[in-house]
Formats: sequence, structure tokens, C-alpha cells
Amino acid sequence: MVGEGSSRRRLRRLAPLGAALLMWCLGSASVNAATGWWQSAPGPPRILSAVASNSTYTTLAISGGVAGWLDSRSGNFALASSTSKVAFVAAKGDSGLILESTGELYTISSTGATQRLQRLPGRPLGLAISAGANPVAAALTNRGVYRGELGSRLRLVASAFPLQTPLTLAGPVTSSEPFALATAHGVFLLGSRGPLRRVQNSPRLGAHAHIAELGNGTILVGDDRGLISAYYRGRWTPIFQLLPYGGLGGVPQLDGIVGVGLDAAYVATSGFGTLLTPDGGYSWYRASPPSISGTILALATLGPIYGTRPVGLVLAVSPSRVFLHRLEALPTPPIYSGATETAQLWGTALVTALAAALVICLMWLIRRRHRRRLFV
Amino acid sequence: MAVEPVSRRWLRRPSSPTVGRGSGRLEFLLILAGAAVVLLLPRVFGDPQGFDPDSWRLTAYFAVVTGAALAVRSLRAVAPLAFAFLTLAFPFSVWLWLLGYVGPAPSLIGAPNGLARNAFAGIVEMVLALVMAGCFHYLTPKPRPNLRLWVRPTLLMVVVGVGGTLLFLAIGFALPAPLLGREGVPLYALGGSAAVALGVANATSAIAQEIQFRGVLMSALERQQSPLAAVITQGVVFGLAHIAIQYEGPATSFIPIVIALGWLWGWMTVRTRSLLPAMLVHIVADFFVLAVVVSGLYGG
Repeated sequence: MVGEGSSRRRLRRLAPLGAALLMWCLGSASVNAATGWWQSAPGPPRILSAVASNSTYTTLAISGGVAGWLDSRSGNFALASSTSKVAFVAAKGDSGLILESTGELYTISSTGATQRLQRLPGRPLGLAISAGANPVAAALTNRGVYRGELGSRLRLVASAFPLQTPLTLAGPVTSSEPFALATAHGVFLLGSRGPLRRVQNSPRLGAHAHIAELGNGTILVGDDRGLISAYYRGRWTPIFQLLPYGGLGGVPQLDGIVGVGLDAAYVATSGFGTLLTPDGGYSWYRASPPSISGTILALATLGPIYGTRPVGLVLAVSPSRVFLHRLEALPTPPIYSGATETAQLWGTALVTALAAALVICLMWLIRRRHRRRLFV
Repeated sequence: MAVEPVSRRWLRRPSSPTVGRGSGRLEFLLILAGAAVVLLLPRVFGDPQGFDPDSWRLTAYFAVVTGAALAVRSLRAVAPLAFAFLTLAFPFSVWLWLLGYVGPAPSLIGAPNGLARNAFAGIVEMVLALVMAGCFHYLTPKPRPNLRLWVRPTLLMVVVGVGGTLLFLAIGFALPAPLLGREGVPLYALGGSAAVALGVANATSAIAQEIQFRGVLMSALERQQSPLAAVITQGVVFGLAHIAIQYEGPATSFIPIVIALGWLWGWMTVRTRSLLPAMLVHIVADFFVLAVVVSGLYGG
């Protein structure tokens, strides 16, 4: 009896250890599933306020009101010459555009040398360069929208009148109308040629509006109300509503939207970090860099990201540093076939059978030793 | 005759002559540890969810343990507990399997098509849980589980129910959203299949869970432990089951809340000797949790 008692006591001592092991297994497996999504950008921590999407791994960014080329692979930031108080940047391969808050527009080469193009009237609101072999640039101010070939002067396409209150401009998008404008009177599309076209039934947008187009043509728009709507095949649908932060906090501000691949998109917020929709807005997931404040100021994509199997980077700018997510590193579910699938299946069945057998044997041993019956 | 204080009754182990004196904690932990191994160990070597997305391996494991407990005389005492775990796993696997026919919504382009099937899966899960609870009720010896469905409502119940729900919501909205995962509401999904899921499927799921955890599992545990210990234990299993089901990293942050809710509903069941109050509160809580607090950002 003494031996039985001590054995039971030993087992009792082991029970908390087993429970702790179980909790550790569950906890570590959960944590592992969430790590490795974002990495800090190489180089010293850099504070950026804006960054432009580009088809290469080097792009234009703004740091301390000054524009420069940011190399996402090395972390180098080469300042552009003779620019200050930069409001917007746009990049296309090795060249780009810089729009200062005064309305001064510059072209910039890969060496960082700038050349003044013109002064745009009004308060700058956006700048973009289209994709394709013959890139077209567009700029938006509160006086109107301007368009022209990259490297040449931009011409007024539409004054502020049809736009009412222009808010933001996005590009590049893949369709024949490479620019999308969010305004208080709805969404407008602008082609490389021709006039602005208002998208029918588009939602009226408030402050801090952001707009992006996905590879399949879906347009996502959102504003400070936290409502994100999608446009696909001639129909607008409200797809996602950001909720209040909690307590007395309001709805977190929407800081940016970027499309990744055919129907995935990242949304940046001040409060909820980044959110990801992998299916055009149907389902949403947390996909935040490890930012303490949960604030992501800007998002950009680098490299080829519009293919069916996107390769490239998503770049997230937090108030203290820059994070990178490599699209090629996205975890994909393994595809088992043939012998591998059979081995996996039988292995799992074996684990199940062995675990059951072991548990039954141990319980039998315990019952046999103690001859105690819990139930009749 | 002196009335025994509630606190003493809560701490008292079953003393019926038909019930043994062993605590059964070791058997309970062994069964639970085996389940964890079955669920997690294959993940070290591959992706069992790829060919077993409905966790049938967990059902198979509990079925084998239950079968052995019924077949081997010296293990028969463990049979109610093993069967209780089987009652947790089997209806859930069937529910997932039925949902699998719906398939994930391909994209915004594809309209959600799972309205009827989502509700059907929930109803099947609830009926299965009810049938298994019935088997548990009639096949296991006394003391029989406390599965009374009806209870006469009292003013205190209404006050506690309404006040508790409001308090729960107030706390939920006061806490930072990222802690609870209520960053946003997927409006499009809610307008489609999820609307029905919130209605029929959500209610059936809540009813099934009450039958499984507060009905069968807590009854099996009450045979070995004091009511207080049984309430605590089933609450912990309720929380762990949510990790096993969701298996998303961020989901772990709300597991303590799930455990606390499991304790609350267990306490309600013991106090009212009925599953009905816990079912009603669970349905209401699930509705708000899924609609407002946890809106799908956990991957669910």
C-alpha cells in the first residue's frame, strides 16, 4: 500500500508538469504561426513619413521632409539634392517625381539629381506614375488634376470643379485607366488620355481617404469613417468597417491601402496596425508588424506584385522603423501527393492509435494498482 | 435539520455509495494529454489539417478510448469521462465536415453560397450533441447528469441575465480593441452566409456547446469531483477546446475570457440545475461576440 501511495503521489507531482507542457505546446504552436511575417528593414532604424510603390526594390521615400532613394535590400537612403518640405513622391523604375508642399514639381534620377519641372498651383494632394512601357504621371492639388508624360510638364486635365473636394490619388493600377481619384463626390478614374470619368454610384468619401486597385480590377476605397468599400464589375459594396478602438477612442485613422497580387490587399491604420484581406475584401485578418503603438503610417509595394503568384515586398512604415514582408515567403499550405500523402495519413493514424493505446494502458495500470472504482 | 452551507456543499466531493472515492484527476489529465498529442504531434512532421481538416483523428482517439473503457472491466469507471470527450469531438467534426461542403468563399466576386448548409451543419451538430447526451443520460449509472432543460424564470435571473449581458458588452467596448480582436466587421461576409451563421448556426452551436460542456462533461466530472472543481475543470477544457478549434495565434488572447465564461455558465448550470439559462446567455453572448467583439479577424 505504501508503494502504491508513493507511486500515486509521484504521478500527482507529474500532473502539473504535464499540464504545463500541454499549455506550452499549445502556446508555442500558436506563437509560431504568427512570427516571421514581418522583418525589420535592413540598416539602421529609419523614420519615414511616406514611401512610394515601385516595380523595383529601390524606391523613393520621404524622411524628415526630404526625399531620397531607399534601397530595401541594403537599407541605404540616398538623399535627393535641393529638395525640401517634400509632400509626395512617386517612382517608376530608376526615375521618379517629387512634389513639394509649395507645389514645386521635380524629376529625380537614380543618382539623386533633381530637375525642376514646374510649379503646380494649389495645395498638393497626390502624385502617381502609371505602370507600363510609356509611363504617364499625374498630380493632384486642391485646384485640379494634372497629367503628362514622365519627365515632361504636366497639364491641367480637370479643375477642382468636377471633383468638388479632391482628396487623394492612387496609382499605378493595371487597367487602361491607371489613376484613381478619391473625392468627396465619389471616385474618378483617369486614363493616359482623355477626360476624367466618374465611377457610377461610387461612395462619397470623407477626410483621409485612400484608394487602391487590385490586380483583378477591384477598387478599394476607405476614409476616416473607417468604412472600406469595394468596386467590382460595376457594383459598389461596403465590405469592411473599422470599429472604435475602445474606451473613449474613436475609429482608428485609415493610413493607406495597397493591392497585392490579384485580390489581396493590406490596409494600414493608426491603432490597429495593418489588416490583410486575401480575397478581395470577403475575409480580413490581422497582419501587423510588431509596432508598439499599432500605428502604421504608410504602405508600399516593391517589385513585381501583380502576378498570379506575386513576388516582391510589402513595406510598412511605423513611427519608429520600417518593416518588410517578403511575398515569396508567404506560408503556403503544402500539397501532399502520392507516397507523401500516404505517409502523412498513416503517420497521423499511427500517432492517434499509439496515443490511445498508451493512454488506455496507463489508465489500466492506475486502475489495476489501486483497484478503486470511480463509478459503478 | 441543519442546512448545510453552500460553500461546504460546493467543496464537497460526491459521497454517494455508488460513486468511488478516487479523484480521477490522473485519468482526466491522461485523456487530455493524449488528445493534445493526437492533435499537435502530427503538426511537427507535416500538415495534418491538409487531409484531416475536420479533426477526425480527435474523434477517433476518443472513440477508441471510450470503446476500451467500455470493453475492459477495470476501466469502465472512466467510460463516462471518455464518452463525454467523445461527445465534444464527434459533433464538432461532423459540423466541420458538413461546412467543408460549402467551401471557403473564393473571393468578393463569388457570392457566398453557404446559407442553407451553414444552418444545416449547425442543426446537425446540435442534434448529434443532444442524441449523445441522451445516450450518456440513459446508459451511464446514477447519479444521472443534470440535463434538465426547463427552469422557472425568476426576477433575479432576468436581472442577472440582462445586467450581465450589458456589463459584458460594456467591458468589451471599454477594453482596447486589439486585445479582443474587434478591429472591424467584415460587412460583406455578414451580409451573406454569416448573417445566417449568426442566427441559426450560432444559436445551434451555442446550444450544442452547452449540452457538451455544461451538460455531459460537467456531469461526468461531478461524479469524481466537487461541483466547484467540476465547474473549474470544464471551464478550462472549454477554453482549451477553443484553442484547438481555432488554432490561430491571436486567438490565445481571448482564451482566458472563454475560460471565465465557461466558469460563469457552469456556475449558472449548477445553481439553477438547468442548462437553459446558460444556453440563453451563451446564445446572446455569442451573437455579440461574433458580431461586434470578435468579427472574424482571428481567421474564424
